[in-house]
Amino acid sequence: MYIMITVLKDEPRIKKLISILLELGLFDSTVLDGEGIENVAALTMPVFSELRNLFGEESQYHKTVITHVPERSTVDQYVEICREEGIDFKNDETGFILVFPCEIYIGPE
Amino acid sequence: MIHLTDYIEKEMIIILDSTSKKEIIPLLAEQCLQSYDEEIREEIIEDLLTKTPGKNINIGKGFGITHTRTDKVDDIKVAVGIFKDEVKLFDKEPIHTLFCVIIPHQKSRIYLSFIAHLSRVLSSPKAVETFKEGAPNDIFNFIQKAEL
Repeated sequence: MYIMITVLKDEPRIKKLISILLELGLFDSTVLDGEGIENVAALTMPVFSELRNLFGEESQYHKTVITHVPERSTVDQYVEICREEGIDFKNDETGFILVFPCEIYIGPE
Repeated sequence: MIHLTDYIEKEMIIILDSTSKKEIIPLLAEQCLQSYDEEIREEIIEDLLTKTPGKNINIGKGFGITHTRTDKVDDIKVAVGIFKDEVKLFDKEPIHTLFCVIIPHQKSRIYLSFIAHLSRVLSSPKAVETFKEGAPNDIFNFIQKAEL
């Protein structure tokens, strides 16, 4: 089993991403709202708020999806379908995926 | 990953002559429920014809779904109706294809995967063209090919 974390910076594509996860049967996925570090810095630290215009107008809100994946091949399928559907994690603005082995899992089989 | 062709059989793709919801839905449901008792068939058809929010979905590009959940069937049953011309069957845009789906309660999650996969296949190039042309063989081959 693997833990897969997807950080989607391209927030408007979350619906498509969710649909792909459902298609792959990854039902035990959790979607979290997140914020880019530049945004938090600009909103909470005066020294950075002055520099906010440097960050551009694009969305600084992210979606993070935590999923446990039974097979490595499912991760490959997920990445491939995402790419086909225009969610290419090789692009700077899309986000990234982290996958690592899960040592302990406690939950429904 | 789920395979649509595990649920959509070639024989279940039908050209529709009627445009009346009261004729089409029983026809498609009967296709799905051939091996079930009349009582069960009638109950499910009645349920499909009852106006309930979310029962009929227009998924865009002329594809529609009518579905119901029941504990009377053992697996997801699907029939596909192809209209000769586009029909305003639901309140929104006209449709050229109607999927009639009967889902056992315990397979709701599999149905989510089915819908997600179907939506992606139907959004692929040539899907609309293939379904509108209405040849069941070509439609089945298209679905099969899209899953490779």
